[in-house]
Amino acid sequence: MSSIQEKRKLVEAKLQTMIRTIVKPKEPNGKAEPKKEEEEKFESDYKQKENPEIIPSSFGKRPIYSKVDINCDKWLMTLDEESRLKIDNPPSLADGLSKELEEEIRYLGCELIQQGAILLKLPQTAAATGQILFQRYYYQKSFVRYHFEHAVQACLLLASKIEEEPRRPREVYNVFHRLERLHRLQQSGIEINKETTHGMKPPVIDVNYINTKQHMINSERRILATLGFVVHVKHPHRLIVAYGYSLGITNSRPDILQKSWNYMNDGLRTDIFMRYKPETIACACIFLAARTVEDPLALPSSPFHWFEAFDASDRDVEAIALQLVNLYARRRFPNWPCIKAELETLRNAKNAEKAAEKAKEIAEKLEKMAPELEYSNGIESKKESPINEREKKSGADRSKDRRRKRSNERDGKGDRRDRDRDRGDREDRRKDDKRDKRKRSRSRSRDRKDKNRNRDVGKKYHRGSNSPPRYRR
Amino acid sequence: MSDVDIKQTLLNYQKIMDQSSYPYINDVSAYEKLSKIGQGTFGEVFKARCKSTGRMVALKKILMENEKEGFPITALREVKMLEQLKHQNITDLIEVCSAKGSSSNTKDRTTFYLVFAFCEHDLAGLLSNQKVRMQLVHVKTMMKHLITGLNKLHRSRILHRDMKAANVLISKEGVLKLADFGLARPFVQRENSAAPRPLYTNRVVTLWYRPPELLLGDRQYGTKIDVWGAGCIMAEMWTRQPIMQGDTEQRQLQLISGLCGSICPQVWPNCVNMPLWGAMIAEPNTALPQRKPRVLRDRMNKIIKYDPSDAKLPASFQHGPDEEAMCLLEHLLSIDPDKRPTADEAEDDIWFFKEPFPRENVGDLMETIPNSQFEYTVGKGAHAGRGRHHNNQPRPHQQQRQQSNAIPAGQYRDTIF
Repeated sequence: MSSIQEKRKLVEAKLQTMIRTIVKPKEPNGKAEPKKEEEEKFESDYKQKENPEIIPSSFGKRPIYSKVDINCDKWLMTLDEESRLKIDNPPSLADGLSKELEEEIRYLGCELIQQGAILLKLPQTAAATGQILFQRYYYQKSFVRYHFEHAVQACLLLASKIEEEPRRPREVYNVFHRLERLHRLQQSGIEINKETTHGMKPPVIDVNYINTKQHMINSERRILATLGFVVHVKHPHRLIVAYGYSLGITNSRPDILQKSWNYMNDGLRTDIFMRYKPETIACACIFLAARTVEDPLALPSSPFHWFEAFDASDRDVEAIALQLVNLYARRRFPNWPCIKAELETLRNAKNAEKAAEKAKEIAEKLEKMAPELEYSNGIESKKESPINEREKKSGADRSKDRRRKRSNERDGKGDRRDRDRDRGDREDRRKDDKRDKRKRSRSRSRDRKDKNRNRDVGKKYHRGSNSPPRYRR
Repeated sequence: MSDVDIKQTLLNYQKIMDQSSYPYINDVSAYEKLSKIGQGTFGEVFKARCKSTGRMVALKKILMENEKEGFPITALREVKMLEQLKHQNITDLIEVCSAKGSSSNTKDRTTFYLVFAFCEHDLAGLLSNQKVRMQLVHVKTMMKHLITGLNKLHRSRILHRDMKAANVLISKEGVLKLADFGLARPFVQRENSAAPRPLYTNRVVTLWYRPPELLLGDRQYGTKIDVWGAGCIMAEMWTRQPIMQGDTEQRQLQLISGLCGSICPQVWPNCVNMPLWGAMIAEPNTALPQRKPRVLRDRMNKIIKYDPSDAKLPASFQHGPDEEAMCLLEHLLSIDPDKRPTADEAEDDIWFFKEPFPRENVGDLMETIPNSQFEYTVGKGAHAGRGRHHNNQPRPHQQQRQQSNAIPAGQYRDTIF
């Protein structure tokens, strides 16, 4: 306890000096008031905190009785080890998605939400909410398992409701449809202007619409369930203005505020909102804007950095600033069809894996159920052998396979051969299963056809490009 | 917290995360449903017990079958607002639970439940039970709680929009709680009237508790609509039944005129600007009879019948509401919304600072009531006929109520709320 008391005193002393140093260089009129308020506010905050210990993030904590925890702080993933692990290993990676591609999809999804919000005439806060929801959701769920296209639309729908500007699913669908076509135009190198987009009409109501809408609504519900209704986001927009005011740059340097505002909107495409408090992000944006604006402004930095008064550490602020700067190093726009194809192959692989596992289970069951029958029948036991081999291979080896496959994909050529072989394997396995089970429902076989068709789509795509598809421009 | 502790808690989290499919949402199977305690267009309400702690809760099911526009915005608002509103006099949202659809056709459909702390009674059920004897101090305490809760709401910039006795719950401890935020919404408060105020939907508040400005089609209403409801509830504390039970909107307006005096520009200068004023005043059999006196005070004194021979009644109650109470009631039921006090002003009303002083709670009153008194189970009021054991004649109001509640559910008809 004594150490805490000491720390408390230290912090207090630090703050006193901070406030004094900031007050002095500013013009005295109009400046004195907010400072005073802030001082008071801080003091009251300080008094309120009976327990000054650092409480670890309540990430993943179950709501306890009478202490309801439905606030957004639950979503900060920095303090405890586990959430750091989670943020470094998004669930999509387990399904074989590469880290770069995962980031690419995240970027694309956020970009689509941002553009969709503009087309839907939603306020920027709704766009921000939608993007943050999207990011949160895909730290819980895998891109392979859940289509990001549906999630993007669901996020737009949900964000519009959260920010009290409700939009219909139909409107979201129209906008998304248009974005998809615009994107295709852009990819094929055609400049987007009034002439090229002239022929674009809203999509007609068809089966596709009904299916998409159903997916959208299901996805919306899944997002709510996954996030446990923690859908309310604290936006740093207002904080930036408030901090700017207390720094005295509201009137003298509106360009800095505008620029930091822009930084923050662009920062939505990264994961900073998962990692840091909105207060810290606001500080980082102002920090970066004051340096990168045309006529840089030196904000108070001695004896302490100004942002320490707002409870932000220089380490965090610099980390955010770096991440934001890196964002602008990105040259290309994510290639949507490529991503789609890539996800499709992964999805198929996963489905096949699942089917194989199921087949294996059934085979095992059969084996248990009728051992006599199997042993007495010579043909049966012969067929058993390839499955057993695969079983041995299935665990660790398969993941190794996948890794190898991924590395091969980068080389391009080896990839197809490998996959062909894999596919051959899989087909063999299917045949085996068929013989094992003796009969197979019609729906199953239809499934298989579908899968084959899907795979063909992927193949066609690969055939069209010489370089690995991911980075085609 | 030492390092070991932190590690331990983290390990625990890990376990929890591994166990559940939705790490942030509990399954509703943690609760054991006991009985149904309410039903409406909003969904069903169940009484349930938590299996691990044994605590009683109320489960409110969010209906989604008829939602064409995805998750209902009203439910989103309810969750969002209740999580901000932690107050003694506002119902306590414990968590949101999910239940996976079991049947094959609704495989992917998750149903959500809002879990509230359970309250034993609601005010409508309590008032309809003649055995419940309330003294002035009880009325005063309950009104104090009601207005404190309302003030908290309005300070948080939320309109309740469905004030009525059935939505006022009373816990076993005798603490009154505002409930049912199915129609509530946040509002924008603008001091400078230069910017146009947003339009809200007009079809809110149960008809019997609907203020004159809503009946006249106002869409730019404010917190005062809830204050009118509070006034109706206050009067109901003595009359034991809703004071104005109109079956149509016109009838409701006539009832208001009959009780609170006619609605005219002398009383309410702004009334001529109401959207429906012109059409209504021109009608031959107008719903706005002019030159009606305000008889609220007389009527209150008349309605409240006491048996003076009943020695059990304490002296303070035999005279009915006292002068200050009448004063507050008159204020709350002003025709002109601008003349109604805000919840903040009402909280500081002189009545609450006169003998008998409002108490902490009405626990002593609750102790005299053995069973839960719910409007739904008692079988009176708006839910009459839907209750389990009573076949009372459904009041004409019932149909209207369904209507008035059905419209906000299909709110996408007008996009501006």
